[in-house]
Amino acid sequence: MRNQPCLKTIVMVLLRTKKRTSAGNDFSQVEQQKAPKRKLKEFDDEISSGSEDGDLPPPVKDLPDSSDEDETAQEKKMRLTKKYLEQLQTVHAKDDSDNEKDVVGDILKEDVLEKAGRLQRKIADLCVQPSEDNITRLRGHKLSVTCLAVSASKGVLFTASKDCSINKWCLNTHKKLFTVKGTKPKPNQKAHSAHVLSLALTTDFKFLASAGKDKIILVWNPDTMEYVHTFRGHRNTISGVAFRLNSTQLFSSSHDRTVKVWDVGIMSYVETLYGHQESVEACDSLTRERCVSCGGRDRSARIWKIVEESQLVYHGHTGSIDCIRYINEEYMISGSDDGSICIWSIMKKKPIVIIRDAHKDEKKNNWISSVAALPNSDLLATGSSNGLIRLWKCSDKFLQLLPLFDISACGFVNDLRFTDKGNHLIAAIGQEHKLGRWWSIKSARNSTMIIPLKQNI
Amino acid sequence: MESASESENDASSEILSEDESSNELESDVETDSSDETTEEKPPRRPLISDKVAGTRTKQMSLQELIQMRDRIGTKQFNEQVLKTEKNTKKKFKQADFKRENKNRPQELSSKARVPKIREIIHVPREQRTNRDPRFDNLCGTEYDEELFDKRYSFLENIREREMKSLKQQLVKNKSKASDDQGKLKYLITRMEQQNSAKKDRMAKREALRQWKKEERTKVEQGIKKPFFLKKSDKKKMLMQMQYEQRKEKGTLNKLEARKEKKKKSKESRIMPYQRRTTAT
Repeated sequence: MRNQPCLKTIVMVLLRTKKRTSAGNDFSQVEQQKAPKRKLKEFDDEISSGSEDGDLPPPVKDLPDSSDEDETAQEKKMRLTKKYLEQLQTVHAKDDSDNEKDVVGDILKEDVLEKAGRLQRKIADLCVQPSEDNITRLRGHKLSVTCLAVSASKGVLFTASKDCSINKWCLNTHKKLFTVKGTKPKPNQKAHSAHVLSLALTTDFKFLASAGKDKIILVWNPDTMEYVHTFRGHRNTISGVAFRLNSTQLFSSSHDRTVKVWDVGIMSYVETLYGHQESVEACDSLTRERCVSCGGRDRSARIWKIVEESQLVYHGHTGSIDCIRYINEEYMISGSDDGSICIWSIMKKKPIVIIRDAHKDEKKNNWISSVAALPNSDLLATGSSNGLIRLWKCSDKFLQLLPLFDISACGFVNDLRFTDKGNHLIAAIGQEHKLGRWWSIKSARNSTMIIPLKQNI
Repeated sequence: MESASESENDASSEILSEDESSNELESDVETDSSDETTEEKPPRRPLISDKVAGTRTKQMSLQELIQMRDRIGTKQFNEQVLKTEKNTKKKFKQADFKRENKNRPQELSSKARVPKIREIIHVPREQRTNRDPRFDNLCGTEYDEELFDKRYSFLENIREREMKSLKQQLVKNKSKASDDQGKLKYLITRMEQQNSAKKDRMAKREALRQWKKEERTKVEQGIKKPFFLKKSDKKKMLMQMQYEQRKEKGTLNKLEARKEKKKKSKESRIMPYQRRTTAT
C-alpha cells in the first residue's frame, strides 16, 4: 500500500487532536456511557445509511473491551483509532478499487483540518444562480418571519415569527406539518407570548430551543413539537440561542448584556458570562466548547472560552454588530448596521477583510440584518433590506471576499441558513426588521424562501 | 485519567437525578439490616449528603438542592456544594491574561460583572475634553443684566398673571385662617418687593444710559473727550437722581425733610432780602 506512511502520520495527528478535544462534556461520550454495549455491526449500518461525503461516525471511544486496565490511555487510543481506520477502509473499499485516489486518507485529512478549524471545502465554485421558478416560498406566518432552524437530514424546517408562533415544515413536500401558536403571558406558559427572535436545533434532532422578547427559552421535542421545558433567568429580550454541535450545551445571548450557558441534557442552568457593555445581538457556536457573540452598541465581538472562563475581544466595526456566524473553528463573519461585513480570524483582534456598503442602494446604506456561512467551506451569504441576498466566495485562507451572485428577495431578510451540504439556502423574509418597526416594506410578503443552489458535481 | 474524572462527574449527576428513589431504598435497607443484626452490612451506595460540603447544605432536602442548583448554575454547584474533582486541565484564574503579540485579541475574564456606570464606546484620552464652565467661552460671557432682562422679558406677563391669581386666592380664602394664608401672603409680598427692586434697577440703568448718551453726543460734537464716571461718582449721581424724584413726589422721610428745611433756612440767611422768596 503506497499510502501507508502518510496514513500513519495522519493517524498520529488524529490521536493528538482527538486528545485535545476530548476534555469537556462531549455529547457523544455521554451517549456512549449510557449505552455501552453497541456492536460493530450497528456502526456499519449507521455509516452506510448516512452521507457519503465524510460524515463522521461517532468517535469509537468506549467500546467494551476486556483488557481495559492493562493498557495505558495512549495504547487504548491507538487501538481505537486503528479500529476507526478499519471501518473507514471497509466502507470505502469499493471506492478505492475504482479510482487510484486515497479516499480514506482524504477523509482523515479533512477530519484533522476540521478539528483544527481550518477546513475549507471548495463549494462556492459549484454554485449556480437559481432561476425564479426554482425558488419556493412558504407562506404561513401572519407577521414578519424572524428566524429559522433547519435539519436537512430529517428534511424538516422550523420557522418562527413576530406573531409568537413556531411552524414546522417539510422540506421535500413544502407543506406545513405543525404550528405552535402564541399565548397570552401566563405564569406557566407553554408557548411564547411575545416575538420569537431565535431558534436552535441540536445535531441529533432531540431538542428545539426557541427564545424571544418574553425572556424565556422554551425547549421542544422537534418530532412531536411537544413542550419540554422552560429556562428562565434572563432579564431582558433574548436575542439569540445556539446549540453546541454534537452536545447538549445551549448558549443564549440577551439584551441584558449577558450570555448564559444551559444544559439541555440535565435541563438546568450552568453559568452566566459577563463582559458585553451593551445588549448582545447574536450568538453562534461550533464543535468546540466556545461561543461567539456580538454586542450591539459596544461594537465588539467576543469569543467566550467556557472552560478557561475567559473571553477574547474583537473590535473593528464602526456600527452596531447585528449578526455573527462561524465559518469554521478559526474564522467568523459578522454584519453590522453601517452596511459593512467583516471576516475575522480568531488570532487577530481586527478583521482580516472588511467590505463596506455591502447592500447599498440609491436611498441609503442598508443594515445587514443576517449573515450565513456554510460551515467548513468557502460559501457565504448576506441579507439586508435592499431586496437582494448576496452570495460571496472566500478566497484561499480567507484573504479576500468576492461576490458571486445575487438572489432577489423583497423585504427584510431576517435570517439565513444553509443546509448541511450547501444544496439549499433558506431565508426568512419579513416586512419589518426583526428587532423593530423602523421601516415597513409593504410590497414584501412574510415568507420563507427555499433557494436551491445547484451544485454541478 | 480523563475518563475517570468524567465518570465521576457523570456519577454525581446520576446521583442527583436518581436520588429520590435511592433515598427511600437506603432507609429500607438500613432497617432490615438493623433488624437482622448481621455482621456484614450490604455495600452502601454513596448518598448526595456524603459529598455535600458544609452542614447547611447537608440539611437541605433534594428539592431545595435542585432549586439552589437552578439558581447558581451547575458549574458553581458542582464546584462548591458537591466538591467534585476538577478536570485535568486545572482551572487557573489569571489576574491578567498575557497575549503573545499585539495583534492578538485581548483576553479578559468572563466572570467580571459589568457595572451600571460603564464605558460603552471608548473615547481616547486625547479626545476627552474636561471643561470648567467658569472659564469657558462657550458657556457664556459675564452676566449682562440688560441682555438677560431683554431675553426673558416674556416672563413679565407671566409674573403679573401669577400675582393676580395669588391675590385672588388670598381674597377667596380670607375666611379660612390657616398656614396657607401665611404662605400666600409671604409669596405676594416677596413678589411685590422683587418687582419694586427690579424697577429700581431699571431706573438706575436708564439714568446711566441717559448720561452716557449725552456724553456721547458731546464727544461726537467734539466738545469733550470721552469721560468715564468713577464708581463713587456714579453712586453720587444716582443718589441725587433718587432724591430729586422723591422730593417731587413728596415722600422724603423726616430726617431728609428736616435737612432740607435747615438747608433752606441757611441759604435764606445768606441770601439778600429781595431774593429770599424767589430762591425757594
